[in-house]
Amino acid sequence: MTFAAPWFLAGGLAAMFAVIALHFLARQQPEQWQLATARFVPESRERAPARSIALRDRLLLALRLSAIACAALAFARPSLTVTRRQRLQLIVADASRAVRDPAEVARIVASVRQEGDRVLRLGSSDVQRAGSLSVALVLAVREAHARRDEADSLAIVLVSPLVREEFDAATGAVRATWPGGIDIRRVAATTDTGPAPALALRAAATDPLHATISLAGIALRDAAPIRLVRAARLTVADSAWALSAGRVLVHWPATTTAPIDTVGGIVTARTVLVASFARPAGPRLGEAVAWWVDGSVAATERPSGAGCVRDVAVPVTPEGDLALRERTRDLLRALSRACGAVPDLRPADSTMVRMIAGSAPRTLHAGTLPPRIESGRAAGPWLLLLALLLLAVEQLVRGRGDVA
Amino acid sequence: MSVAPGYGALLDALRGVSWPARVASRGATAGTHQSRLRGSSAEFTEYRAYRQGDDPRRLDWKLLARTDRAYLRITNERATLPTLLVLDASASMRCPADSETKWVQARAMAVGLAGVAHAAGDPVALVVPGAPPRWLPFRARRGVVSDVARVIDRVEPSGDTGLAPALREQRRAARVAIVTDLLGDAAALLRVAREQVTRGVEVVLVHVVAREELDLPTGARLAVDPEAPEIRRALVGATREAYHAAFDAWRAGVARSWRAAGTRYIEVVSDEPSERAVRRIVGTSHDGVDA
Repeated sequence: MTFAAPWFLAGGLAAMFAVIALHFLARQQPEQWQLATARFVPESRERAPARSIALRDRLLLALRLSAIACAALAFARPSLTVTRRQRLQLIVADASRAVRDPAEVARIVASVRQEGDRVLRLGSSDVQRAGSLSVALVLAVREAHARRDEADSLAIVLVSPLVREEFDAATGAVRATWPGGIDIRRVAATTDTGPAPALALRAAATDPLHATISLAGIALRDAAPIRLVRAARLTVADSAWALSAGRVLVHWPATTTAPIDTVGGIVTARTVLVASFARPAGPRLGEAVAWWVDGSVAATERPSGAGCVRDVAVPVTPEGDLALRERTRDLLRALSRACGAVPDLRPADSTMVRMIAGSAPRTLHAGTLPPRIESGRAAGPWLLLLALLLLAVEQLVRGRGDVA
Repeated sequence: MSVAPGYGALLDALRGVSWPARVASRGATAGTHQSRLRGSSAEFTEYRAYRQGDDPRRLDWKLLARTDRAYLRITNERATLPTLLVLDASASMRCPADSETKWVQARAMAVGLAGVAHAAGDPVALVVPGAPPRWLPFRARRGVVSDVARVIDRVEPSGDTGLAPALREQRRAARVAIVTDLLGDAAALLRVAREQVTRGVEVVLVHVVAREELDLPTGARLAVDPEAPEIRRALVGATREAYHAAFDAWRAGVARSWRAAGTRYIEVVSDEPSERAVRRIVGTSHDGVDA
């Protein structure tokens, strides 16, 4: 049994000694005696101090001491927990796409982890999704409060590359809820998620994107998870292929519909390509991933099973040097990356890291955390109820016995 | 003398004890006490010259024949003395509560005095003020002592009813014996007693004091007045001495006041033998001291 507020036990013990002393040194009322000539006795105090040798009323004393003991135990907030540990670590292991090598994370977690420590996962099971540091910290702090009675001190260990995409507007506020420091073990972040180092290209031999792909240093492999199709229409096989997890089907028709007008450039999240384009009709509905400079959508992405299909309505013709430009290669990289928004995998700067690490000691005393409001295993309420019952019985006994 | 249940030994011990009147009785009924009236009994006192209006039947005709002078033969009349017993039955008479020795002694005094008075042929009446009041009218017939004892034995001392109103209402008694502890309406009772004395009534005050009131028990106690529960005083060393001083002074003052009023004051302690106490009251005690 552990006590969240053991000083109440000391207070209760002092109160019990005080009650015992009062019983011994009770200023008791003398025995009443009917005396018809009492009027001739001069007035004085009715109560005469008398030192009682024996306990004045053992039953009352026992009831009072029991009530005080129960109340003290109740306020000390006992909990019938398992054996209390000296230190409990809550290890937040980054499993998001920001991690370049998950094995490195597992290796660090294994080196840090001790028996009884809790490992929390940062990021979803979808390795293509970004992790949220705010969510991970909320889970860690909540777990720390829940297990504050199991250890004398608590610590949060964060194993993560700490890239910017894992931060959001709430990260600072969430971090402020943990009064202690956070032990940060940084691992290597992935440099980029796209474009994939290899592409499967289905296009005519004279397609200008051959040159672009070649200049971009992207290898062409049929088994690559990203397939670039320059045909006017997708085949059933292409659509079926895109249903698998992690696959990206980029439909970038070489021949487009009749141009609507011309436009002076195209914009993606990372690059701007300025050129004179004969703008065709827009791509299929989906999440925009590239825009013309006037704001209209030039490329979209839509989910397809566990993968995605990206429609690109940007004409790249053999004429001119468009396919050979550096910006065109950037456009190709932007459109042939993995599914999802363009990740911001830049490492967090030192200010952000210091904010997460904090200046407080990394090991936090469990008593620093506010007590839990509810505790299913706590005996406090029952002890308090028992104390009240004992006091009620004490009142009955005192009323019946007419003793102080 | 018929024997009242429970008081047989006392009444037997008082057999032959007389309670002579200290003043001449005004009663006309023949009795044992000297009467204020002069009559024609056999006990000759003196001759008195005949005055107009005297009853000619009281003339001493033999003297008239011998001396040719008209004289009346004057004799002393003997009369009875209607005796009223006033018994205090307030709560204070019951102390100490465990033994009730004061009440026991007071009852013995009342029955003993009734027995002595009845033995002399005096009518005896009893008044026990209280709620409800108990009383017996003047009676001289046999069994009156038993009646007195029976009435008294039914009384449970309680309350704080005063004695003065009952005493003020009495008109017939020539002698009044008040048995009380004087812890009630003592001042009013003294005034009424003084009035009775002025009217020629012999007033005897029997002041009953419990032994426990004279010799307080040891140990710390909280003394509570049974008639005034708000009076609660601690009996410890210092207050005990002060109590004795105050109580002694009060008793001495009471005795002086009542004697100065023309009454006969006798203090009776609860542990005094009742027979001896009655003898002191009626004035035939061997030591002859009224305490």
